[in-house]
Amino acid sequence: MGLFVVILLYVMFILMETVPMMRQRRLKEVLLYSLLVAVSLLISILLSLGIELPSPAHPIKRTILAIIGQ
Amino acid sequence: MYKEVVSDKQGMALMCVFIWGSSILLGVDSRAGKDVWISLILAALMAFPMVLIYARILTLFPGKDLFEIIRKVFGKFFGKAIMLLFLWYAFHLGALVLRNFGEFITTAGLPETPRTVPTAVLGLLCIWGVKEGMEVLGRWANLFIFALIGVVIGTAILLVGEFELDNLRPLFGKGAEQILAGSFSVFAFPFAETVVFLMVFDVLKSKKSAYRVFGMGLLIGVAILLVAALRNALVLGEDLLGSTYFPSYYTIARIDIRDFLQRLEILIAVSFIIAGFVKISVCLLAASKGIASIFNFKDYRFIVLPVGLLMINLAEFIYGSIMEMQEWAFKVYPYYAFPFQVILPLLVLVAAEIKVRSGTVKKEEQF
Repeated sequence: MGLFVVILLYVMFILMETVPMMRQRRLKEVLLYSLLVAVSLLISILLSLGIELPSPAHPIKRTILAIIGQ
Repeated sequence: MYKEVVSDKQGMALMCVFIWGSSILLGVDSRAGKDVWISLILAALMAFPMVLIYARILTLFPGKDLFEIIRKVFGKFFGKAIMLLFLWYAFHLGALVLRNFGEFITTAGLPETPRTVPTAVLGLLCIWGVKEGMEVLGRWANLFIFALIGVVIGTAILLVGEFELDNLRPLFGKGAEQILAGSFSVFAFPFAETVVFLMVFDVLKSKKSAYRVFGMGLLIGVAILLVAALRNALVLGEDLLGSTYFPSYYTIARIDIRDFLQRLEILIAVSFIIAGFVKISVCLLAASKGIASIFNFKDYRFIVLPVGLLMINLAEFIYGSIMEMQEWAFKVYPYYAFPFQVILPLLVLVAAEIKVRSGTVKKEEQF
């Protein structure tokens, strides 16, 4: 269910935004846009399947605690 | 192309609302216990020179945002590395605030709803707001700043009956070390977070506005935050203050006047949505501008939606639980944010001063 909603929303957004950009032939922008959306979609699908992704909070925390020495 | 302009008043309102953003709900670091207000004032004293530095950077290059300044000062390759750092900070900060919002709604308001729903709804609203541009956010802040001030001061007045002066006495009970540690934490969260405004304030009206906006914005922000912190400390007391996640929320819940005026905590939820919206939007705007300028695009609007969606995703998996969020926000975050808030801006300022004084970069007058 969640996965279905996520994909539906993404398709809606992509159509809403890329079609005008394609019409104006802003291909470079479309390229960057689709790259970011693809990454985002991948993360969203993984999250809605219930897969735990490694959070950047943990390595940052470990590094900082090592630096300030606590 | 039409150039957006944010008036000084709107800029100040944006700064204030940004400072209150998550602190109006999460409160400030309560390590200092009864002396939390002292560490707040100390933090403000530390933050003041810092915002003057931010304002100075903007004044050196009027009408430019931080990313353009960095490109001019550091050149293409080294500049891009610094841009990437600032961009990451803005992006990460936005995700953190978004997560605070999601946790708050699921803890206090809608426990049965999955956290993704409030996060995504507010995130989409922010995407819309940012696409409309800085002016819209400025007008929004300018309109609602009075409502927020009214909520904080009004609830403080309604709670006068609950105040216990013993909650503030004795002074310096925990010692100077705790107070200083607390003030360092308050400095990083929320005062010095205003570094994000460097990345979006290419819309200020005149050359002098930067000082006015940053200075006055910080002053008003600190004043109202002080009222809120004193209110929470006086009502809840040291122990409760340290053990709740959302102190303001539980403070306001104490209001009960003749069984008639009660359950006002919804006011805090509403103010958090208003202020959090501004904070997340400013971060999202900064991140989008950063990506656009790293890839040499003039306009940032087309990239707002993907960046916003990524932010919602990051907010979703950045912490495992609310305990982790709390620990991170008050224990790790001050040290993590220090390079972004102090070291890098200082570096940019020094390099910019050298470049401008030596005349390598022509000082542009556009007004």
